[in-house]
Amino acid sequence: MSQSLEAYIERIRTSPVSDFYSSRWKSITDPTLLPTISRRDLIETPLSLRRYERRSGIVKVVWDASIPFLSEWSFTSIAEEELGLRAARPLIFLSDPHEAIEKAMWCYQHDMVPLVEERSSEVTLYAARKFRCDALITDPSSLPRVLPYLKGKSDPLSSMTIISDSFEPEVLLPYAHYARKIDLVFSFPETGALARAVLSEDPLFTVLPNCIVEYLDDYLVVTKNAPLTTPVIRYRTNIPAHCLKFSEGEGVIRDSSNRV
Amino acid sequence: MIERKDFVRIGDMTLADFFASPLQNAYDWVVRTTSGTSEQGPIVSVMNLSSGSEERQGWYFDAERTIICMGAFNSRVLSALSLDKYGNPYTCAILAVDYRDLAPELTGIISDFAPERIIGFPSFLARLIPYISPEVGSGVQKLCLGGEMITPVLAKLFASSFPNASYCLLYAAGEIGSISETTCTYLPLNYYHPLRGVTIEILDPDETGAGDLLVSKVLHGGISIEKYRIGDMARIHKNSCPCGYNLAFESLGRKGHDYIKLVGALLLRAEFDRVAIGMKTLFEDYRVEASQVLDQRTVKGKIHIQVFRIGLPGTEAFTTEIADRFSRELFLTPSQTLSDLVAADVFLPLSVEFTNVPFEQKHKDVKLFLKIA
Repeated sequence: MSQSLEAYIERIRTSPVSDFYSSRWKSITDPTLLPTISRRDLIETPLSLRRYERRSGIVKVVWDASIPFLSEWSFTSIAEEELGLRAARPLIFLSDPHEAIEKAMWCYQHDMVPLVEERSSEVTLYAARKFRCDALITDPSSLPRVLPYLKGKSDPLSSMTIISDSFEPEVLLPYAHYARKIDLVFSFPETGALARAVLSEDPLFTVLPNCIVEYLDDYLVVTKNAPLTTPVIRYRTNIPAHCLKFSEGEGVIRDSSNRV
Repeated sequence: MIERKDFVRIGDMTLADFFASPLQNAYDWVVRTTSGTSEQGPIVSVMNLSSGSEERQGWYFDAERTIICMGAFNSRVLSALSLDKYGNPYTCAILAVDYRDLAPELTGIISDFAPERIIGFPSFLARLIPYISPEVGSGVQKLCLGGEMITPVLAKLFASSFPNASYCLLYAAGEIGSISETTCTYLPLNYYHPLRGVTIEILDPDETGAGDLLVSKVLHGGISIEKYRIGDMARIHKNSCPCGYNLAFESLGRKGHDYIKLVGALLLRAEFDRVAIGMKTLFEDYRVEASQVLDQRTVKGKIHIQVFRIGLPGTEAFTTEIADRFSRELFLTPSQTLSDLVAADVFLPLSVEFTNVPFEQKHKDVKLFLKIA
């Protein structure tokens, strides 16, 4: 485990503003043995007790089925997310209204002026044609609603970024010819982007910088070595390990009992 | 004079200006889309934020934990950009509530967030209030509202829900931006001083001075609008104000000819006509009076229809039939009828009344009226 991550974990452990992690870590000092947390821990702990940084930003309501919790992201952290998209006028078409606002702020921080989907898809797609949107940030469930716009374009989009915690390539591949480049971004609202892959029949994800993906008890456990307002350290997802294929390299730990 | 239908062309001009301008700072631009609630289609425009932003600072300056309650996503984005720019750099946290969040579980979420400021539309805030506990409401210091009238019903609701909050009000339109300065503490609710550089006039004032509000202002890039009929009724007051600005206008709400927005629903004249035609054997003419009512801490819509029938007086059976048919067949949202909204406790049940006296026909055939109570 890198020195910077050890230092970050120590900073979290000794933080005077929150004991969300230190109360769970107790006397465990080996970073490789820290207990995992899950969405249940986030739901059961108010945001005010999970906040480690004080910087301006966005607070999102994350719905876990019918139970909500809050996730806070500073503007600085939002800007550092790696979504892989470079365009002038991206269209943001996401089913999650909070993700839509956050991704809009990400666009602005990367010198892009976005158009965000309104409640009427018809009005949005009309606006997208007027605004000459040249890229798309979306999720798998929203793609069918964007299809009329994609079909109506004479040229493919410069890029498309599909954000989700799970992907069905066979459902997404029919959209391949609507953009010159299509990236799949593995992400949760509470963790941000973790890994990225080019759309193919068998996508191979590359873990993003400062992210760690572990295979633990057949599920994926993720960590972000970044000073987030609500840090992500050994966060157990509900994603079975076999659902996503990761390329070998830094950031992937296949056997959590045998770490660097 | 510019009508709303002309604004499609003006919106195109702002787009052309955006495409032609080198992008120096993305934060200076926001794409605005209006839904096109009357017969006009959507208006798409690009707003330049680099000038004329002073009036917004009152909403955003030094903001801390702020809830945004706006329906349109482009409005939420505009607010988020402004809060990033003017809010407290360490403690400004923005929660943009969506209609899909409105569920009992939201109460705990909002308590956790503990807002000190709420920015948005009065009607959306009214829908949010049932999910704000009295304890949390007493912690709200500032209500930054605009886009709609604050009716006496809403004012009473806000006063009881946010006893420690002051108002910061703004009169603006999505397609042209701010029209007023932010709140002058000497003015009553729904009174505004025009923004410096904006000219306001009243078209066809009646004996009380009320008439169509016309707005003239420079948008950006040299694009200006002259005498834009914004769709609201207003009255001008030229009295000396202790703040020193001796011109104010009183917003009287939407004109109500074609549509009325009420508790998140849209009452369309054309939709009422459509349903009424199917009952032409029952009555000859109708008038609709819509209003808001306060039911405990919830603002609900109320519709009362008067129908004119020649000859035989209307019986209770006929009244009931007309009420049932309007309720079942009248769509107030793209997917919900009045019956649906009554079942969802958004509207009170429809009331219908017969009259044998023909309605007065003026040169403007108005059938929809919003009662400000």
